[in-house]
Amino acid sequence: MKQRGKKTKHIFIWVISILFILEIIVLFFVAEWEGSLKRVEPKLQIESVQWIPPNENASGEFGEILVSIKNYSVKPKCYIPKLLLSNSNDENAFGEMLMPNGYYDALSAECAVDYSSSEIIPPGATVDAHYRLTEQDARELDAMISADDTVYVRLSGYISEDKIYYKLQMQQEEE
Amino acid sequence: MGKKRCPQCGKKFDFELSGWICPECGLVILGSTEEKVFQQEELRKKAEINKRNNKYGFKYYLKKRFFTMLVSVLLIFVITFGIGLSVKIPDLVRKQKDIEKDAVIKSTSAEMGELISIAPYTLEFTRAFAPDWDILPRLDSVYYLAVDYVAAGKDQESVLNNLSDAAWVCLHDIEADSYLAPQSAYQLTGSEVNQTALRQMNVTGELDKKEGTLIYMVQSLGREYELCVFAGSEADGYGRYDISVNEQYTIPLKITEQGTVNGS
Repeated sequence: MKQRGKKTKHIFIWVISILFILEIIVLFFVAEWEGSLKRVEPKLQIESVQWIPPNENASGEFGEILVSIKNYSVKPKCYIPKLLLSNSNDENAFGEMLMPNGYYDALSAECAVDYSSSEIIPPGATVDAHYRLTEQDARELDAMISADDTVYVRLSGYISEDKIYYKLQMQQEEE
Repeated sequence: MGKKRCPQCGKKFDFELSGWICPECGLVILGSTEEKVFQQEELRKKAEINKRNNKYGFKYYLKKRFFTMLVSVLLIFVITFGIGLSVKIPDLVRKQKDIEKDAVIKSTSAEMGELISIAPYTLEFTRAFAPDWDILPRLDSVYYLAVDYVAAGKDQESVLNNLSDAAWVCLHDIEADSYLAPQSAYQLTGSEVNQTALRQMNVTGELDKKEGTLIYMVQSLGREYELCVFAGSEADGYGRYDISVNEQYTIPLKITEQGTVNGS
């Protein structure tokens, strides 16, 4: 009887000790999980993307890409993200990165301070972002179109979404 | 037989070998005396052992019960952690689902001078104007647009709990379709003296004061603008935008006379 009591006591102690160690491990993962939830970036999605060719009469212009971006999350995005152009929808494919035309581009140049984070995409809002092409960008885009009819675009940077690619609509095709 | 102590002088000797006579004091050890001596020896030995173990002391008590105490402490930890985790994990699962699902934001229109309720706070935008302050740097590419507000409720005077935990504001330039964040004193000027002066004038980049002024940098004062207030559940983080937004208030602004911007 005494022996059985002693055995039960030992089993109880082992169970408590294992539970304690398991809880410490779970606590660590829960703390990591809570930290990651606080670091989650807003969820942005491209609603539409269109290439607008340059005016025939304007020199030094190489067209622009107009992208409608919607913020589906409950937190704002604190800058307009860059745009990646590529011939492939493979995540590892090399592409051309385009910078957006920011509201504060002139101010940033005047003050030599980056004010781009002061332009935000609020939750639930859809903004039209313009990505003006430089001569180099236009050449790269032409090369992509020559290589393959389909040019893929996606948002770049810390964006909480799957790497979703969209096909670039050429305005000339619609005409 | 072993050595025992003489009951008279305490000298240790073997009773049998010395012929039952103490070699020190000469006491004759009788049978009854030997029994008494034997009992005394036993008592003395026990007392020595007890002293060593400190049977009736606190340290001995702890030593005996150390293992039991350790198991009790472990049990308390296991129960406490278990209760904590059973509360924390469902909360995190709910937050994860909130983050993954698309935002559902209720939109409401408001006017300048109207009291907006963002429980447990209230907010009112009282005035919008183009400040002509020397302490603001003169810039070619932007103009300044200032908006005064008054906030109340809960502990609005507290630096730890105020309206900025539940709401934030941006300005919508309708023509450019751009949403602009307010600038703090630190962002407006590089001069520490001017930063201090701006703070003393209640210029702030958040809704963290009882009475404050938000300053925006805009491309033109001749455009249409609207203030957008985003409100939601009180944030448990420390960042300005940690709030999970579920409501939006839109307040249109209009230029009514040169240099001053008022609500419609």
